[in-house]
Amino acid sequence: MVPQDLDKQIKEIIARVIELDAGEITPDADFINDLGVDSLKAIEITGAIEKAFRVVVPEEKIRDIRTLNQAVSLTKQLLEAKG
Amino acid sequence: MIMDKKIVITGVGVLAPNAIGKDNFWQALKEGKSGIKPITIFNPGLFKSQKAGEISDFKAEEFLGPKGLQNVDRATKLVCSAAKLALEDSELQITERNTDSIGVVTGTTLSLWNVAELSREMVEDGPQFVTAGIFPGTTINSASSQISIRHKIKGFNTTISTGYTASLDALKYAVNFIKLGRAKAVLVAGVEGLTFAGFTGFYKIGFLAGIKGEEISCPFDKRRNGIILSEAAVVLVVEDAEYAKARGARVYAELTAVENSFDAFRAAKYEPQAAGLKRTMVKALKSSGLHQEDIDCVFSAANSVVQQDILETKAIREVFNIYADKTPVTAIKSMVGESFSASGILQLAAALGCFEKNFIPPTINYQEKDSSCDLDYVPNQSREQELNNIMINNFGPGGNNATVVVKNHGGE
Repeated sequence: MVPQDLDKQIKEIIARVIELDAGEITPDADFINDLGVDSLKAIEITGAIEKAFRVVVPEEKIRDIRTLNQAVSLTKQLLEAKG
Repeated sequence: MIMDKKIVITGVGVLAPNAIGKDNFWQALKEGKSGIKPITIFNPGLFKSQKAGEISDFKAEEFLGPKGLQNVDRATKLVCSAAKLALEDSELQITERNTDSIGVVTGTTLSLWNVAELSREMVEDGPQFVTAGIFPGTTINSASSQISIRHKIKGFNTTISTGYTASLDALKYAVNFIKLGRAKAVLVAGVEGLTFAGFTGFYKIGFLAGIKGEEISCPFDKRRNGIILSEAAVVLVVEDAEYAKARGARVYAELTAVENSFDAFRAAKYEPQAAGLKRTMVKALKSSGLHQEDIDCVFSAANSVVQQDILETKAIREVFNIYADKTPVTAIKSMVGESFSASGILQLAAALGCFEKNFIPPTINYQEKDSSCDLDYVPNQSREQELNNIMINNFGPGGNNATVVVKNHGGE
């Protein structure tokens, strides 16, 4: 099941992990180049999403999650695949 | 090559169970104020021991700002806060010019929170859902590294994990580095944070007060039956005296001896004659160039453990000989508990205040005399006295011994 407010939930998770106001996280802001996130924190974002939605992001996809939009889109795919 | 350099202390940052900040800490010691209280940061459940030396009103964000504290354990938060206080106190500015010649060495042994948290998440959530950010903090050098990262200190960074004597062993390491010409100034730290894991460990090996008697820290008193576990963080800025002078630093004291030894005896047992402790005390007197009668006070490692307090009494009696009865011996652990790796440097931070404010702190909770402990323990009330040289002892059943002699510098 994909929650209706998936965007909002993921935005809040990212805001918590990188300690920014949710308002500062625009859909296409690049975590590393625009939001000053380091590589460990980027991994933590993926980990926090995995934990919250009980999904596993394939290793080769971890580096593809660089923006809120990308995170939402991948999580949605994983949740739909889970059924 | 080890050079004959004077080594001085120019900055103090302290967070102790009975006070935060050097002035509050020194005042608390003078008043004989205890920092031992019922634990609030975790629930000790049905254990017979319910108290600890907790730094209850510590708020890391007040020292370190609101960000960057997620998944950071209590010990790291405490020691980074102490480093901030020490740097401010010493007025040592870290710049691109001097940063390579400034080091950090930290005495800490029980880095248990992150390990416990990682294990908890593995069991409760499964390995796939463990929080990655917890892992870096599971390493023992994490606290020390955070000091350097937060203050942009680019000289050496080392962690010493020798248990009871860790912070004084760290001090010796710093002194040697300065004497080798490999650093001008070193932040020497000692820290332990209270965790339920650490408390449980000390409880289960039967080391805590309250298991077999009254739950009280009363060194040298007949009622003593174990330690009150505590937390503390201390950072001292230790410098080459010439470097300190050149930058116009205010000097608290000179370190005239830092000695250590190891009792190669049995795991977790006291060497029955305190042979190592006596040896470090003798070596310290010799290196400082002092005679027993020149020592105005001994800050003992006495921690309310039956055997430990007797052994230190015997060692002092033997080393000080005819001067033993004339030498006051105090035990600040009566007020601050046993902070393990931090305990030695906490005693040193206390000694600096006693130079400043001309007093010897009391051994509080002293009521029932034990015939095996028969020195002048400065019972219950602090004593006004000018002090020139203080000896600080540190030892435990782990086998390590350390003795420091520190000389008053009169704020020159």
